[in-house]
Amino acid sequence: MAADPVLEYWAEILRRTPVSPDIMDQWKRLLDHGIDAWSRALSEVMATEEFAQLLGTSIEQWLAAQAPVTGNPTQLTTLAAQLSRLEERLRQLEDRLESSRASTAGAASARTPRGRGRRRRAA
Amino acid sequence: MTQWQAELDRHVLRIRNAAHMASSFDTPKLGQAPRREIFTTGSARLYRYESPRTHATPVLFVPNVGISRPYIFDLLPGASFIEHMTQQGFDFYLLDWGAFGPDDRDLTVEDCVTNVLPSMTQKVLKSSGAREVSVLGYCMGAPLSAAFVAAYPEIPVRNFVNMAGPIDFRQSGLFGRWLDPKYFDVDRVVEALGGSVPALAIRAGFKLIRPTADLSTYLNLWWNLWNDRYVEGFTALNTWANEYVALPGAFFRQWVRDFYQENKLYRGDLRYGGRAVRLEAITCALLAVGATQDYIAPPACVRALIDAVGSSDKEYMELPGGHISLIAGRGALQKCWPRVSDWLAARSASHVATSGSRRKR
Repeated sequence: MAADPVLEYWAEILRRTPVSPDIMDQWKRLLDHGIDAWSRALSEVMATEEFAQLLGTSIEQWLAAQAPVTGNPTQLTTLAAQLSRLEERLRQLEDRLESSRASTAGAASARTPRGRGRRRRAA
Repeated sequence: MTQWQAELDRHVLRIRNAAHMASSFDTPKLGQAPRREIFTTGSARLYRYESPRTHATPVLFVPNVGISRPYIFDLLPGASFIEHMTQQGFDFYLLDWGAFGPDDRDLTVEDCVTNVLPSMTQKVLKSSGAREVSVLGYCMGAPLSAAFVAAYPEIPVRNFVNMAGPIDFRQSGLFGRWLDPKYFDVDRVVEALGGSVPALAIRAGFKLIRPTADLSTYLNLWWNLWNDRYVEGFTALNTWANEYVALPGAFFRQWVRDFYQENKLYRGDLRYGGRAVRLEAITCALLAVGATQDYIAPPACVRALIDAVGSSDKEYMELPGGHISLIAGRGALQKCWPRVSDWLAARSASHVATSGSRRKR
């Protein structure tokens, strides 16, 4: 029957850890060796071609997700220019509406000055 | 029984120091060695540190560009590389590349090698009144300095020291693997990041290279929390370790492409400012120092400089420690700094004429 890999791992750590008569010191050494073993194992994994590929893909995905949020300087400049143009168009529309309203009001008051006056008084 | 009593006493001290660390917002005083700004260009500054000056040849120290701040080399009194060097009588100059902002996004590696380094070296020569200079490059500062020394034979460099600086990028470990052009499109990354590489992205890269480092650091902190001296050193180092510096986008592009992806410095294919950069053109005395546990610049990639240069006086030292502990902290005071200062002292002009700046006074 195959041994439990977790137990095997700790047994290996214990085998490698130098023995100290100080219990606390022994505990610290055990933790240091455990972390060191993890560090070496992770380094081996991170040094593989597969990990580099995975990291590259992750960076790509992260950049793609960030792009709409952050944008690059060119995109930001374009966006600012578009906003400015939009603002200008709104101002023009506002002016047109204002002048159109003014001319409509002028025409209406020219047509029914008494009627309007009566309504105001009634109110 | 006494062992348990001692452990109990330590626990009391641990709790006291932990409470103090949690409640204190005081930042430790870092970079206390007296210095004077000599020159500035762009974001870069040149500082001169006061020393009794028993060696005539000044030392220009070139650290990494971006990533972190250079006060790590003058962390605390008694744990400062700069303090050690000045106490050994070296006229010491630090090139601080500065903290980069949006205005620096067009700074390239080529600018650093062909503009900043030559002008800084000339300022060192002028300020010290010396005829020659020793250049000491650390981390990324070492390959940049190597490129500068190789490309400018007319600038009188007497000694060159490479401390934990990658040279043969085929052997540059995890970063070399991850920055492979098959998986890492540097142009797309820089463009998507808006033209510069922010401090957060740099922090993520360095955290990933040693995922268990924080666990180890905090376990060691807990273990040594009873020791006031350790806590003082930890607080200082931790302040530095959490201050990352952005990299200009153009610099990052050139650094990744020319060095990591195409290994142009080692292969002799680099051409900056219209000059060929060939390591065999380096003929001054040379020392390369690698650290056995260095994940950022593994020893083999540092050592490669020895076989690439044309120097006859050259030496490689491999010392215990990691990329940072090689040069920073109290351990380095025993293991590394005396080796470097002794090597330089044996190769520096020994007398000491009055320096140019002193003559002026």
